[in-house]
Amino acid sequence: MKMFDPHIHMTSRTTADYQAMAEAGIVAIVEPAFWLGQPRTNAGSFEDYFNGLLGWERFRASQFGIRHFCTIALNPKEANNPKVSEAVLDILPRYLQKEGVVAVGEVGYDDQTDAEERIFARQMEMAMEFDLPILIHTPHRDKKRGTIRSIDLVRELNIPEERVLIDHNNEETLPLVLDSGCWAGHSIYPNTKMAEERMARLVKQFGSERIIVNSAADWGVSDPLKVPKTVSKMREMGISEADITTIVWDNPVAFFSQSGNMDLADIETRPNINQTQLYDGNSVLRGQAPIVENR
Amino acid sequence: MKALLHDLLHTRMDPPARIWFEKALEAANAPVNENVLLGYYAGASRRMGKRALSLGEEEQARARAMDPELPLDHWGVDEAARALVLLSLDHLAPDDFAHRVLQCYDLGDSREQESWLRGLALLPHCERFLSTAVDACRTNIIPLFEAIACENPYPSRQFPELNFNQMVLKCLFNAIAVNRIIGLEKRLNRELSRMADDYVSEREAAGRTVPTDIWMVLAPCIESEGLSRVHRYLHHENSDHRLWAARGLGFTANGESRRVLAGQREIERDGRVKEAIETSLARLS
Repeated sequence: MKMFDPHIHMTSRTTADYQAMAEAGIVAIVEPAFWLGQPRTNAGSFEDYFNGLLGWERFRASQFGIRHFCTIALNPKEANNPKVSEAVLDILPRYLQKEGVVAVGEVGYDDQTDAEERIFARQMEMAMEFDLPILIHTPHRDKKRGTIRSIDLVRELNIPEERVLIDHNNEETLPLVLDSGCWAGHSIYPNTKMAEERMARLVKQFGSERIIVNSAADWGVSDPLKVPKTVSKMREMGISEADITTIVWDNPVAFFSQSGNMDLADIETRPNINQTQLYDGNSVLRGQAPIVENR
Repeated sequence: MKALLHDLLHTRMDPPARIWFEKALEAANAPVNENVLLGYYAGASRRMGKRALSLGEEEQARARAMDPELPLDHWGVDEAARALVLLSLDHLAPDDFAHRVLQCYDLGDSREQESWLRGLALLPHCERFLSTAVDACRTNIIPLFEAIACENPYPSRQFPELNFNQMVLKCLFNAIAVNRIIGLEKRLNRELSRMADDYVSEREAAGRTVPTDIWMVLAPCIESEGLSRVHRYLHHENSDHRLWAARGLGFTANGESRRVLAGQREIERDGRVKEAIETSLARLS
């Protein structure tokens, strides 16, 4: 079964992860721009990071037969840092028009401050201007209130709700998101956010329409195989293959292809691997025999 | 405060450390050379060591007289040294002082930033550094977060309500005991109780456990529906839930809480919980 992980931070993962993901059936991923754990001190740091998402990381994924897309934005946490926020907003238009950018994101609330709201709104306006869908991060703390405020802001700005994916939902926020016209993402995590079995129960209760699951794997305790693991759990709990396919393929493809930056014919097949390729003279190999596929 | 720190450090340094530290203090005198100062600020852990100050009784009394909310006992020797270096910059004009002090944070590693945050409440016009302190709460490095959130009087004295509430929630999320927050009792508020109540709903819906000390911030200003939840947890099989529910209920202004506490007193077997119930009943009467 081919699968899509629509939220995973591969810059902080290893090539062993890429191999395991490819073996498990993941053929396409979206890597949202986020914060790196260490706060950045200047806008130039963001330029290099965005370039990395669009360049080296896409190449690295391709070396394992995985199509890599990304979303670009100033994340909610660093929206609070006036030393970088305005300067990053200034450079966004140039990145939002690049190939492989399938949404503006992650935007949203973290501490739910005024600065976060102002920058959240401005980036949603940019998404409208550049005709991109929007990926909204919901906060860890005070999540329900943050989700309600996010939906309110989407409506206030007259953003078509089918162009908005609200992520990291749980039992309490999912009904709110489904009541709006927005798509509902779920990050399946080892300890926090959402677990496989809880996810399967939610699918049984709410169906598969506008439901998306992802691993949100990053530099923390997380698992890049959570999408395939959730598929197994859903199957085990009697959810139909059609519903599972809707959730782990059709929905993310439908949502992100609204960007016009995802070729629907291309994405149906896994890209051939050619590990003899180099990026800026760099290979992902360290002396191994390169895999070259010719399917 | 400078004299106190100086005396505390003096008895805790061996001769090489003493020579090094005198030079560090000289570097804080005019004219300040940026990189020299930053080098001394960084070097304190290596040169002075990181063991706890561990105050004697007389020293405790002297520290309390200066600031009863400042637990110097929790500080490392290096952290006290860094605080004294920053305080020794007070000869500078206010803007220059703020600039130099902020550089020590912005360019510091985790331990330097922790030291900076612990000493923050001592600095003249420390309200100027509010945005840095609030931003420090956004870290994922738990010891760094604890340096501002725990055993530190700065947040309860300076943080606006929204930032204070977010900090308390972050403690609950990370299993950091909320009674480590200095001055929590005077900053309890309705929004904080509402946020804690929503968090309990979220945890219950996910089939997960609830932090046992959440009742300390949930109970005080909650609406009636949330209060009946606290009453339920006052009878919980886990005595830690009972303990904190009992303590939290002591800060409510509700006759029903008195009745519920009195009821639990009759059947409570755990000595700690009994004591908490008595204290809360006394507070409510």
